[in-house]
Amino acid sequence: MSDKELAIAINLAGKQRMLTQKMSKEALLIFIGIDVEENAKFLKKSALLFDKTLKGLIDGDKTLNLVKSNSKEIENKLKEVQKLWTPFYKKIEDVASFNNLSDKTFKYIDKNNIPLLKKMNEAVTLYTKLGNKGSSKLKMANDINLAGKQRMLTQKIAKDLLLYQANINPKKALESLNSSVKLFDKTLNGLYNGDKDLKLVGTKLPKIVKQLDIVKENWQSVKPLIFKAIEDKQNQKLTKEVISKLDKTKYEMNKAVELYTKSLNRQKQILKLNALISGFMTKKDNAKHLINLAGKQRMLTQRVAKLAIECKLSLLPNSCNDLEKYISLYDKTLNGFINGDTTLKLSAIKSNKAKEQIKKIQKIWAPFKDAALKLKKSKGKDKKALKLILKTNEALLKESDKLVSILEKQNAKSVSYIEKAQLKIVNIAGRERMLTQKMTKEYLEYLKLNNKQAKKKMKKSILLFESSLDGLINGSKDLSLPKVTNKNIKEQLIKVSKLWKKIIAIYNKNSINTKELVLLLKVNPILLKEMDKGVKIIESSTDY
Amino acid sequence: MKLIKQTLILSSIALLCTFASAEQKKEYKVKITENLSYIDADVLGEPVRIDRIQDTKHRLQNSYTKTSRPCPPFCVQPFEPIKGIETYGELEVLDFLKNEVSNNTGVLVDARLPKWYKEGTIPGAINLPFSILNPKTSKEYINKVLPILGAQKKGDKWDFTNAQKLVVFDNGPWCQQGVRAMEHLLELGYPKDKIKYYRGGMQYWQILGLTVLNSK
Repeated sequence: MSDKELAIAINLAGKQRMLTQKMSKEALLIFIGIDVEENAKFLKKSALLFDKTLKGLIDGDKTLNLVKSNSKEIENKLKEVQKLWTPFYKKIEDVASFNNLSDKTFKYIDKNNIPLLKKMNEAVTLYTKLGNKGSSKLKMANDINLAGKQRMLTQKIAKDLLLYQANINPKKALESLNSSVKLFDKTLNGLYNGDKDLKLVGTKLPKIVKQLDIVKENWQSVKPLIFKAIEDKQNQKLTKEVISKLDKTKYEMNKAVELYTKSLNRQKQILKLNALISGFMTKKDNAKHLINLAGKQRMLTQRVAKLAIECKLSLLPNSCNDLEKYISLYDKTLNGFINGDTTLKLSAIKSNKAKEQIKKIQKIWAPFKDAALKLKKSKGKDKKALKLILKTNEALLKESDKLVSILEKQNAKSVSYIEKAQLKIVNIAGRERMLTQKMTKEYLEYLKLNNKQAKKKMKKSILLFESSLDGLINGSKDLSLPKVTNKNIKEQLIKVSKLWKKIIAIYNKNSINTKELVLLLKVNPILLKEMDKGVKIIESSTDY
Repeated sequence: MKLIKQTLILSSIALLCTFASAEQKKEYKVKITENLSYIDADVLGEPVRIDRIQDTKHRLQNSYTKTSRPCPPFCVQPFEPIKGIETYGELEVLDFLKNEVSNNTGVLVDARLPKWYKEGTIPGAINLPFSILNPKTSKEYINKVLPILGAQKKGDKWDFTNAQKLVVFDNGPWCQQGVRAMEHLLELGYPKDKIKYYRGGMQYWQILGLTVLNSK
C-alpha cells in the first residue's frame, strides 16, 4: 500500500464512523416523520456508501481508490465490522424502503449503532497506526484523528436529539447528547490550543486556524438551538434547522480534516526523505571516514619512525611509550580495515584490490612493528631494530599511500563534482599531516644519525609542506587550489602557519643545541594536531 | 463639562484601540510586492512566515557576497539550462509554496548536499541532494525516492502520472547542483513539464532579504 492509498483508506475509514451516526439520524428523521421521502433517499445513499466503502476496504475498490490492506490485523478487524454491519444494514434497508417502521426496528438501530461505531473506530486506529509507523515525530497525528471524530459527533448529536424526541431511551439519549456536546467543545478548543487529556497539540497553521474559525462559528450558532430543540420536542421546524446546521458544521469540519491530512502527509514525506538521505549520506560518510583513516596511516608510518629516533636519543621522556602507543594505533586501524572495528567506526573492507594492498602492507608492517616494540622494550638501545625501522618506513609509507589511492578511486564513482573539488583540498591538507612527521624524522636522521641523504629529503619535504600550506591559504594554480575565504578554515590555517614559523628556522640549521631540539620536538605534535584540526574543519565546511 | 469628559474618555478608548490593532498588524516597510507582504509556509506542522528583512540598511555577510568563484566548476548557468524546463523567479516560487506545495501536488526541492541545506534553506523546501538521484550510482535509493514523489514502478519503467510537480533550486546561477538534479530526473523519465527551475537559488533569495530557515 502506497502512502497515498493508505491516506485514502484512513480518511474513508474515518468517514465510516460518521456514516454510522448519519444513517441512524436519517432513520430517526423518518421515524419522527420529518421529510420522510427525502431522508429515505439520503438513508439509502448513506447505507450504500457505507457498504461499498466497507467492501472496498476489505477487498479493494478502484472507483474509491481503495486498495486491500496487507495487514492481517486490519483484515480481521474489518471482518468484525462486517459481522455487525450485515444485520444492521438489513434494518436500515427496511427503514429506507418503509418495510418495517416499528418501534422495535428503531430500538434495534439505537442499540446497535454504537457498537458498530466503536468497531469501526478500532479499524481506524489500526489504519492510523500503520500510517504513522516509524514516525513518532509526526506533529498533529492525533489532532487529525480527533478532527475526524468531530464529523462523527455532529451526526451523533443529531441522532441523540432525535432519539430523545422520539422517546427512545430518552434519558440515555440526553446523557449521550450532553456528553457529545461537551466533547465537541473540548476537542474544538484542543484543536486550537492543545489539550493534554485528549493528547492534542493544537495548531497555529493559519489555513487550519481559519477553517476551525468557520467550524466554531457554525457550532456556536447551532449549540443554543440544540438545547432549545430539546425543550421544544414537537417543533419540527426547529429540529430541521438544528439538523441542517449540524450538517453544515460537519461539512466545514471535513474541510478542516482535509487540511490536517495535507499537512500530515507533507510531514510524512519529509520524514521519509530525511531518513533516506541520512542513510545515503552515512554510506558516503563511511567511505570518507575510511579514506581519512587510511590517510592517517600514512602519517603514522612517519610518526613512528620519528619517535623511534627520539626514543633512541632519549630526547623526551615519553618518546618510547608514545612509540608503542602509535604502533598500537596503526595496528588496530589495519586490523579494522581487515575485520571491521566498531570503536573506529570501521566496516571490513570488501574490495579485493584493497585487500590485496593490505596484504602487501602487512608484509612490511609485521617486522616493522616487531622492531618498534623491541626498540621500546630496550629503551632505544636495540640498534638492529632502529635500523630496520629507518630502512623500511618509507616503503611502508608508499604502500599505505597506495591504499589511500585505491580507496579514493573506488569511491570516485559516487563522488559528485562538488565533492571532488573538496576532496582535492582535503587530500592536500591531509598530506600536510604526514609531512609534519616526515620532515622531522628526516631532520633527526640527518642531525643525530649522520644520514646526509636525509637532509636532501628533509628539504624536499619542507618545500612541499610550505608550498602546500601557502597554496591552501592563498590559492595555487599549480596545485589547483582556490584561495581560502571561509573564516574558520582561514583562521586555522593561519594558526598552523604561525606555529610553523616558530620552528622553520630550526630546520634550516646544520646543527642545533638541545634546547632548540626539544622545542622542535615539543611543537611538532602540536603542529600535527592543528593541521589535523584544519582537515576536520575543511571536511565539515560547505564553502572553502 | 460632563459632555466634554465623556468625549475625552471615548477618544482615549478609540486611540488605545488604534494602537492595539496597529501592534497586532505588523507594518511592512519592505513588502514582497505592492500587494504582498508575506506568505505562511507549513514546515513540519509549524507555520513559518516568509517575508523580507525590514532593515533597509541590511547587507549580507556570508559567502553569498562572493562574486567570483572558480569556473569551472562554478560557471554561470544559462537562463534556461535545460531546454523545455521553465525557469522561475521568487514570486513564482512563493506562489508555488502557497498553492501546489500547500495542496501536496508540488514539492520545492533543495537539490544541494545536506550540509548546505542545514545552513539555510527556503522554508517549506525538502532536501533532495542531486547525488541521490544519480541513476548510475544510486539505484537502490532512487527506487525509494521516486515513490515518495508519487511515481509508481510498473515493471522496469516508472509511471509519473501521479508524480508531484517539482521546483528545483540550489545555491544560485553559478551552482551546478540543481541542474545536475534536473538532469538525473530527466534521465529517470520524470516529465519535463513537471519540473521547474528556480535559477536564483539561495543567493538571490537571500539578496532579496527573504526568510531563510536554518536547521543547524
